[in-house]
Amino acid sequence: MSVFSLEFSALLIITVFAFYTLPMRFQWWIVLGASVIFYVTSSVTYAVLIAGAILIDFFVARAITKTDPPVVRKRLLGFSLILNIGLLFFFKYFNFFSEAVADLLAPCGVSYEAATIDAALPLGISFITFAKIGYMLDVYNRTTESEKNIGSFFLFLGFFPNITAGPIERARHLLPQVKHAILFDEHQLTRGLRRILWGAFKKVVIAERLAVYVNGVFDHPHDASSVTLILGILFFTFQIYADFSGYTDIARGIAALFGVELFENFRQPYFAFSILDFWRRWHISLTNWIREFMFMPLSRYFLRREWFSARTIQVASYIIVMSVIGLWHGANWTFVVWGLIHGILMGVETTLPRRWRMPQQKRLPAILQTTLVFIIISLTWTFFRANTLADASYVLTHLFASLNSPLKHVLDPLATDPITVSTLDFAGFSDLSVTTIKTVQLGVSFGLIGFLLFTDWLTEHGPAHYADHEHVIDRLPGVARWTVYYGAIALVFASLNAVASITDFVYVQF
Amino acid sequence: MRAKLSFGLKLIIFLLLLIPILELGVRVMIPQQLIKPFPGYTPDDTGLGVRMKANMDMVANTGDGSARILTDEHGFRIGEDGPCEADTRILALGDSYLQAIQVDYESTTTGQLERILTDQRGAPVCVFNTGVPAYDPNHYRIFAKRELAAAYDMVIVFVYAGNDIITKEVEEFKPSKTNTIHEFRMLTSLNKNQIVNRILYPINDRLERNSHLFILFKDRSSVQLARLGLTAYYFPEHLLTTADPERWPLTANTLADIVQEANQYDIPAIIVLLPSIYQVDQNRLDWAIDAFGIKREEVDLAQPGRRLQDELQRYDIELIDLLPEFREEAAQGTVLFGRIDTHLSPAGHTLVADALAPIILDKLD
Repeated sequence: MSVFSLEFSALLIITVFAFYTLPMRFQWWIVLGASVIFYVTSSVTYAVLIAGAILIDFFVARAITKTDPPVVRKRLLGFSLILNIGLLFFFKYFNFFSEAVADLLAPCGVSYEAATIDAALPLGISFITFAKIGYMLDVYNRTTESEKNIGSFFLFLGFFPNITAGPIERARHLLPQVKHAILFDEHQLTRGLRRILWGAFKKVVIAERLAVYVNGVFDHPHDASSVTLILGILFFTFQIYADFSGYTDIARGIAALFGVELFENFRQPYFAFSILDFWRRWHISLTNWIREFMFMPLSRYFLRREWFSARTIQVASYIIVMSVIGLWHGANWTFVVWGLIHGILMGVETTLPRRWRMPQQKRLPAILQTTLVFIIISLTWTFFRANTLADASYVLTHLFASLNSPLKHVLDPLATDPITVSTLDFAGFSDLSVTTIKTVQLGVSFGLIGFLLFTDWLTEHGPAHYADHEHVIDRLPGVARWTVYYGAIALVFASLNAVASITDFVYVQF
Repeated sequence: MRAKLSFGLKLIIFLLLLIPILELGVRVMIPQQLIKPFPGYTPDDTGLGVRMKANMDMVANTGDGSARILTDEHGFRIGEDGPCEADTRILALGDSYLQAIQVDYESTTTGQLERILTDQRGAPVCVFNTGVPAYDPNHYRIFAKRELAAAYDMVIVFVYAGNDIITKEVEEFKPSKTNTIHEFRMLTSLNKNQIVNRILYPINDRLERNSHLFILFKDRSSVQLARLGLTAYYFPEHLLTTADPERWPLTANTLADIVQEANQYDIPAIIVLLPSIYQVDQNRLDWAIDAFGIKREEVDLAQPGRRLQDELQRYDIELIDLLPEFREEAAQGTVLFGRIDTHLSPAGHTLVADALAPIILDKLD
């Protein structure tokens, strides 16, 4: 069920209405019911499977809490981890590794037909699995009490706003919020609706528009000129940001309608001063999870054994952990390489002099520093977006190969956009050439990127009272504020309906 | 409670103000085709029930674009050059799919056939478009008996697989007024039929003529509206294996009567089967299965052609089933049906004309 579908809108409206009109003791049961409906419409079979896995973890966590002998506790934890990782591996990585084995054996003359599983990915399995593993480890480490209420536990893991693509929540953050009654708060509801609108604007108006160009480039990279390839990378850099942060804003906005505050997942990532800083700003919930449950334990493990120096361990840990993050994103070597590159970059960064790793104080060096990090991050996105490693390699090695190509080829990946054509026609600009229309479209795309960067810049470097977008809107006079709301809604509505279907959020596939 | 009511009221006002803004936004950014019906174009007729209005000149828009509708003194559809005159005259019998008010006459099957046949024979050929909405083989038989007395060189019967498979034989239709404009009327009872015809349909008609937002809403919520029974779309029963088997010999018998009638005047007859969009467009079929709750295993898309052919063979009559040609062309990406009004598109008419032209030429010679 897409968040942009009529069915989801109806489900959300009914749920919010029931949440605030029925007696408060039913509030979280109502949300749980909505979450079940949301998941079941995706697949009844998988809903039962995931519910079964959640139920097992509920009882295992209770057992861990009640058990003292460390061996028993460890075994229980091990059972849960094997179950969770096993499920994720089965659905997401079995085919990938099976084909990798076949590819490895082929040069050795061993003919092996890769066994494959023909099964769709259960909705949100990556995010649910990480949330469950985090919970089990928290309980094992005694940083969180195991949850006694089975309904609350199901709601923590199946909360429908964030089940599809995060943020990855922690029990100690989300569970307390879904256990107490929520009073009606108009301001809270308005904030939620506003956040949903902002998220929808980023996804539907910005990301979808940029995706047209990006798909045109990356689906046929060999047909693209250098400038086209550069623009393709640049546009994808902002497409994925608008898409993923848009989803997060929608998820957080929906959660806010129920008085729940989900983790902030993005913090102006393209204003990072280093690769490490980028990962403190991008997909923050995943980074925190990886740091706490993979990087730190891995580093401690090697440090205790004193096999290598601390610096070597740190670098190696970055490389291993980031490769795993890459693999988590998808069962494709492009994602693994993407993660590996980030790991190497982070490792290299730790070897640089400290003054280079800290944010620069003077303006020009700070701009240069941020720009350099931005360029590096953008280039690494090539691996994330390319269909194959060969395509990614081609793109990166041909960025400057044909700079002399006529600039008009920059427009080739674009198809004329019905909204642009209609709007120009309405404004009296009929019978324009296709080139002119595409040029306008390209200009609009740059304008939207500029707008996105400006809003982030305002939050990053603006006055304190512009700490987030909502405060910016709040400070506008009433007429201006309502014009912004209505204008944004009209744009989102038109963009949603200008195409036969909106593509899924990028991170839903993970 | 007061706070909730206050918020609810603010939200309602916000949404009410949003409607005209969205209407403006849709008109500017994604303008739709407003539907422009024209009432009274099918006056009643004793025998046929309804017929096409004679000497008509209007513009219609059923959702996929405007078209000029001209008819001659008989109510046959004609082009901008006026009534056709030629020594070679072909009578084309059919329903709305033949009449094709979605496109200009020059783009219809008959308009294109006239052009092709005239070019090929080197002499004018007229193909008279007698199409009337809601006609079926019963009407074609009555029409043939009336009309074939005049001098024709051939008769072509266009059978639409969507709704031209009849389930009962009718010798004569009573006059029936059709009215494409629904008027508001008071309810005399609270049944669905009255609510739909006296309240909902009038609202629908007015909004269809004036609101781009409404047209968009109907288009985007077609599945939900179909599930509620609030749409003119339907899934042809003849494509389901559960269809009553009596319809096939009944339809074949009626078509055979037309061929026999033509034989009396010693003129050849061609029976053409036009497929419905569901038989050609997989996306549309999927939509229908979702919207109408159809069991996929009960769908037999080739059934009309296969069953009709089997029955017509008893009369030694060949059926020209254009389903294979439609599927082949659709596989190339050609759009053969309208998007809002699922009658044939100009490309669909071209396909039919191109497929029939050699057959017609062969029989004329």
